[in-house]
Amino acid sequence: MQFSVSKKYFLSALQKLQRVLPTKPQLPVLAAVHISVNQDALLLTATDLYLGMQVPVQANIVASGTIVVPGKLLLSTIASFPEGEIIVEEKNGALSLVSTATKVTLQTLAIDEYPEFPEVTGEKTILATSDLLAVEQYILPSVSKDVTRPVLTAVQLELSTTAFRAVGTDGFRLSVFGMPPEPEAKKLLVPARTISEYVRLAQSEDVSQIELLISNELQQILAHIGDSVIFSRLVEGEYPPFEQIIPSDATTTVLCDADELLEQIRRAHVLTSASSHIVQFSFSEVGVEITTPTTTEGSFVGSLTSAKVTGNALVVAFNALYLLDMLKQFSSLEVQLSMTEPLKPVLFRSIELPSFLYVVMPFRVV
Amino acid sequence: MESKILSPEEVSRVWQQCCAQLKTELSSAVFNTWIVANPLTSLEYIDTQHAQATITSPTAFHSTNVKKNFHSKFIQSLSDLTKHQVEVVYFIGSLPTVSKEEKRIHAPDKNQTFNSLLTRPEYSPSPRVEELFSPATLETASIDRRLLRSKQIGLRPDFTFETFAVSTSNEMAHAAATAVSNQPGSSYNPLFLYGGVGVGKTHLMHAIANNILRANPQSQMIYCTGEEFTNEIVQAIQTKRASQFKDRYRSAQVLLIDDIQFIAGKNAVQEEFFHTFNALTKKNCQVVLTSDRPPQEIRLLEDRLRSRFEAGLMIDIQEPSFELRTAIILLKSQAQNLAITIDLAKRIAETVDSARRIEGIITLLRSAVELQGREINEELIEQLISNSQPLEQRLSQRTSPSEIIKTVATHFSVKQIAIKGKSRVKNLVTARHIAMYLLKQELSLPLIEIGRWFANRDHTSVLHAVKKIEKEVLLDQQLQREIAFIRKSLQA
Repeated sequence: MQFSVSKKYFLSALQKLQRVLPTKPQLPVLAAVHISVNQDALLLTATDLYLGMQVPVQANIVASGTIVVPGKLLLSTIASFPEGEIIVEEKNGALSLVSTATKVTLQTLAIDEYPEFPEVTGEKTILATSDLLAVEQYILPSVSKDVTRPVLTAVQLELSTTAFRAVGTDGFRLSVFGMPPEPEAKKLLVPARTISEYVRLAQSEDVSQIELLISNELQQILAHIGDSVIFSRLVEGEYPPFEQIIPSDATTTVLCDADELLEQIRRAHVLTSASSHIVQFSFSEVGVEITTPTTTEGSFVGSLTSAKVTGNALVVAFNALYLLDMLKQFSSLEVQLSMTEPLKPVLFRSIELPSFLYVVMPFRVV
Repeated sequence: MESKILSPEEVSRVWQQCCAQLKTELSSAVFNTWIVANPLTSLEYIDTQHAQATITSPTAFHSTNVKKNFHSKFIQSLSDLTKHQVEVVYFIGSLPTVSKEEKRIHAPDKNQTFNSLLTRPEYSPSPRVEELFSPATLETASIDRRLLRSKQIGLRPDFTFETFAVSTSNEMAHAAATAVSNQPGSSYNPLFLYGGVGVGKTHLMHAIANNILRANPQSQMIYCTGEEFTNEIVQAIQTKRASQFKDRYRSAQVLLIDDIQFIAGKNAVQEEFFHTFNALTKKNCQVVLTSDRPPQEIRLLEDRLRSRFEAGLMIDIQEPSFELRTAIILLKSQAQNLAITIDLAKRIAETVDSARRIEGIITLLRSAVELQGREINEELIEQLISNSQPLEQRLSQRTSPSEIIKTVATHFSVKQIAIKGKSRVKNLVTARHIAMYLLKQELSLPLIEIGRWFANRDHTSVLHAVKKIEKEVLLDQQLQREIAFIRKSLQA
């Protein structure tokens, strides 16, 4: 195997692959990058068995072949090289990298231990990068990180030719973005990490849309993003009936400036580390009062000048973290809170951002 | 030998033996990645010679590589262990986890275990935030949703089967309504309820709707009165939105129209209703109608509509009996949180004859208790009854002759001028005779004066009419009903 490649291209490809290289793999060979060269193409591959990535690189091919080399080591080596062409050659289980006044030789790993990629065939679906960005911004913060409930670590995507909707929840709050598609639309549970990688790659490849290939049988989703390909598993299981818990009615509604609310919660949050982030809101005709429980550290009292309260007076407590995460998304908008009872889910939305809604379960304050 | 599927315990024993064998042959990294993560999940003996084993992998990556590298090893090892020729198939899916098994084992005392599994307090960042998808949250959310839906449709949430008192006069209607609400569209279609004022037609109709919503909150349902239906058509025609109107009504899964008799005599409305009705029943969508009288007695109702109504189930709801009235008083007062004894309830039922007036009495009672702070005793009840009684009498005294003629004309859907005039068309004559009869009976007007209202007829003509009706009313049940109905509407 022999080829020459520009350092710039080689390094950028390896940096993309680095995202899926496991740091402490069970199987040592998974920490490696698979380099395959045939007559006209150089293809770099990495996987941790849950996420896989293939990135083609522009190169001058001299002789074809395949090898496996430790990924992090190769990346650091190439990063340290001077700009310009690098001549890469494999001989007797050693990979030599030659640049101006530099030569590095790396030991390769056993090629036959490297896992094979599944062959994914299935329906093709297009997803716009703008939708992906919205999923990252509005949905990912709500997705659970608790691996004991795998379904909640995924984003539910509903795709049809005309509509798109994404949902994320950790069981205590819920984010929904997009318009409800027709009932027969495809529903996918895509791991949150896969979505992050799609976004990152779509941005670095600067593409306006990505192409998805979904195999239900293999529980795999394959994404073509520019020239690169990402393999990912889908999460199996039944997504919770999220539509049912979106509040349908409100007896108290509050309209306020999202930025002011966010600022006040930030201030209140400073004093809640000893009290499980409890921030209490008293809504009444007079206005909105924000307080924190008195602890040994102290307490907070604040109000909202921009708030308009309609309906019954109500006292609701929230976990400040849930609000901080999400109020950023409403920045510079007017946000509306719809509530019925102190312990029922609260709906946050904004008229200026109709495709997004956020539901939070309040705190039970004893 | 028949095929035999091994139990999970047996499968796991075979798998452990297989693992023990493979562990000695493979490096621990390879063993952990490719064997432990991809276990045997089922084993089936097809016959004495052959067996099928399923290896489940978490991802397609695992499956592809296990199949490529370990297929022959699995066959060999499993065949040795089971003494069968094993065929291995590969499956991708989630592995049964401990929590799932726990859930299955503790299925009987579902609520507690289920809740604790769902909330997992040790993992949540804030232990006292309730789970968004807990059964309790889901349930209250669905109740809220249903109440909102029923409010949007225009239903009274308190009109349910639970608050409906049943006795012989309405048990048929109640049973039919229950059957319809449990299986809309398939049991009795259309359901046609008829009966006088305040017998509970509307209550039953709302109860059907509320019950359907309870089972399926998403159900497309339209509830309106015959008059609203008429107005909507007129408006749709005026604003040139007739097609929208049609789409809305024909996409309904359940159509409930109260007081359908209002559409009689209105040709365009009957036409539209006829087509809507056909479109809905063709799709097996439930139609429920109420009327103050049976279809054959609704005058100026098109024959094709009448025959369609009669093709469904028609049920008559009778005036509530004394016992039923007592039961209604008890039920309604309970709903208003008024503690009323059965004796007092009986006392009210003795003097108050319609269910609607019972509601009025209960409201008066509540205001007396809540606003004046009075106790519920015989004295209060007597006072309320005597207060409400003369009110009604005064009303009937105030009824004027022209009002009676107008009511009769409306009832028979004829013009007042025609009744008062000279025409001798059959239905006009009947209406005229009934009007004369009522003027005599209700207002005790002199015959000559009655004659003056009807184009100066002779007092003997009036006498003839009154006598004729007096005689017929004893024999003709339909006439009885019609006269009773006109009297009711005069009181209303």
